[in-house]
Amino acid sequence: MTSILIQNGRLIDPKNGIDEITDILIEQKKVKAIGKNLKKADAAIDATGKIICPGLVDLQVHLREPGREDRETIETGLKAALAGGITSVVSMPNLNPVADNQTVIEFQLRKGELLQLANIFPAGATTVGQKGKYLSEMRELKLAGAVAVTDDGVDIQNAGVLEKAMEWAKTFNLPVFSHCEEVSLHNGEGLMHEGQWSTRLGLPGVSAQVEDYGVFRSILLAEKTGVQFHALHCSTKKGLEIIAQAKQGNSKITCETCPQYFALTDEICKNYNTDAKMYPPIRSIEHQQAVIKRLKDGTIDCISTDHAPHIPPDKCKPFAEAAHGSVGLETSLALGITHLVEPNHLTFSQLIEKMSTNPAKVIHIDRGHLSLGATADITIFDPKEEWIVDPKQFQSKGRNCVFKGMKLTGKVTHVFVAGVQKV
Amino acid sequence: MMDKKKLLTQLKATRGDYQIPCHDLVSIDQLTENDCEHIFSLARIFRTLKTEKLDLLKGSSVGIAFFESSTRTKSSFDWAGKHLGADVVGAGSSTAEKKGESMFDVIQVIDAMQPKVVVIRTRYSGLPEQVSQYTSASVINAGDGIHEHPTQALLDGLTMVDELGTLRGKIVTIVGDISHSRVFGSLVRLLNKLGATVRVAAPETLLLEKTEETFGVQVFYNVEEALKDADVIYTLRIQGERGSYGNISTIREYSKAYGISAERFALAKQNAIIMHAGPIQRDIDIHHVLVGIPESRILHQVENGLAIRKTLLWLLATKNEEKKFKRI
Repeated sequence: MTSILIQNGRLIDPKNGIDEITDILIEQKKVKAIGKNLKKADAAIDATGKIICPGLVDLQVHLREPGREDRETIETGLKAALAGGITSVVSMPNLNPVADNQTVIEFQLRKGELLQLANIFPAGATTVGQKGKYLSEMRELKLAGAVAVTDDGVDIQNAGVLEKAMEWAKTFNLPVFSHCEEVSLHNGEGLMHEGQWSTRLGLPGVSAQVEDYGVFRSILLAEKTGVQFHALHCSTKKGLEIIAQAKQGNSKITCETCPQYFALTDEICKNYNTDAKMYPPIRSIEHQQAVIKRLKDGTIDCISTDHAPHIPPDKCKPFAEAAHGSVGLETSLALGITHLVEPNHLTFSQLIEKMSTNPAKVIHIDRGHLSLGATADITIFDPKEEWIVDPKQFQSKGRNCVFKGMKLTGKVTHVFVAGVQKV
Repeated sequence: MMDKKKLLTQLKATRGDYQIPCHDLVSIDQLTENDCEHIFSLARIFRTLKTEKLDLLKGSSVGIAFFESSTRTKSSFDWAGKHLGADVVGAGSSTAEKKGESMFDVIQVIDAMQPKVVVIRTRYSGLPEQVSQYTSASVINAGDGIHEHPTQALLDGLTMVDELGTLRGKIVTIVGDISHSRVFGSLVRLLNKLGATVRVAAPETLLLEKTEETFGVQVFYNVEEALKDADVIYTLRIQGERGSYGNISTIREYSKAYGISAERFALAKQNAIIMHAGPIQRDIDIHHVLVGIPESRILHQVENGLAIRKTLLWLLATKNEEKKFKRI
């Protein structure tokens, strides 16, 4: 087995409180040693000027396989993850068939095993067919390898079912991830954030209260049931305030946001830019500022991507009919650096904590740190390199990228999964 | 006796070397006050020419792609094109959609038949703007969802300016279903450009999010207050087909609270006029007696519509610059 010595980089490992220029030795798939003057290895990488960190963990990725392999496959999705420095992804269950039983979970895990790219950690559906009516077989999902249950982009509208689902998940020790939404508040017709831009564009709005109300309901029931609860893609001021309060003394509640909510505002929808159609919608500056504030104060634990690849005809449609979402695996780290680290909202260590250490904790995987003996999932990036987002260069099949054409700072240069170099 | 030749000379002299600044007309935002004045001047001459057959667009094709039903706008564009000598064809129907063809592909198909102008009406806000990138033809938005209906606003603007001279310092009170009205979307933009003071009278449920801040208008729940000293009363019907009935208690109560009656009309300025984008719903949004009184401009609006549409077809079809477009 080969050993690799990565030299002279700035090693950041939030879990162990390390942020210094040092060397790291990988041997037998593991982190063997950290420090200066380490023994010679079979190969050496000069990481001068670069940052070395635990491989990133993304809690929300739509891999589309099985079902819509024209949009993405497990292979292209995992390659895209690696290109973005992400070594572990949670695969969301809105597949066809829906991952509401062990078969899809086993299929995805087996594919991941064969591909040997990034690690795949599937999430199962909370209810059968994501219909919000009948509980899925969570015990079997767990035994098959699911790390969480979630109804993905649909929130369970019946609070009674939600409560039972939380209790069932708690019984089998599975975290519940929720997209928080009260659908009746926009009659299922909202297309973008409700505000001045929706009024100007004549597009029905999704108010912030749609999410706030959903967050509140989920939090109430999570507190009551004591389930481990994770709020997906948080985008509103009040919703985050509710979560901040609930987190006081309750370590079982966590939440995440995505780059689109701290980097963009609803103005991006002007000219009916369907790449900017997102769920939850990209919100006004007031909410964007609140998201940044909650990233800074620690309310938001994780940054995920909600990577949602589509084929061009899915987006080349009237805004009302266009598909939701944007690809994001290959841009999230750079967006974090450009919009959070460079303006001094977060340190590199805090960013890495939210993109690696914390998400690993949420799904209870032994990743997201570089302790001695840890599996050597490692990302190296140049924190200063500038580049322009060109979806044509993506590993993902999806070309629908709301960040298209933007200039970002920070480029992934090397990625290791279990000690093997993948990028 | 109308002198056609003289009027045509006058038309060309009035246009001079004026060019409309946009290739497509999808929003009033694309025009300046100066553009509006040019359009009004030309429309007045077209109005005088009545139904005279002209050859200004001879040899050009105009496609009328209406994906929603329409009476006045569709026939208005149709006649406008024919009076100008263009070959006007109904180029859109809901059948393409039913067969699963995307509107973006439909526009490319229409484009291949080389029309100079394509007029689009659709239930989708933004669709005319979106598809305009994929055709060499000029796209005119004849109503997109709840967004805009720019030719309606221009004909309304012409009607008001002819009546009041200038709109600066004048009060226009718009009453009714703001939330579902593309007529409002274009009219408020135009009135702001022309310097009018815009008041809106509607219940909270029929307003848009942040109507006041977005468009700089004054909002009134009480219609009487909104009508006081108004120069123009502009009523909008309740758009039941877009779900407005779910936004009011009953039509009965709505009509009592917001319908324009003779008593309410009397609150406006002495010489105030009444306008309506149509279709009118007698005794719901306007009392039947008011429809035909001398102060009503409802049918003038329709007449001006024909003139405005001729102007825009002519300006866009003869723009002195190739439009850039792409293929999907």
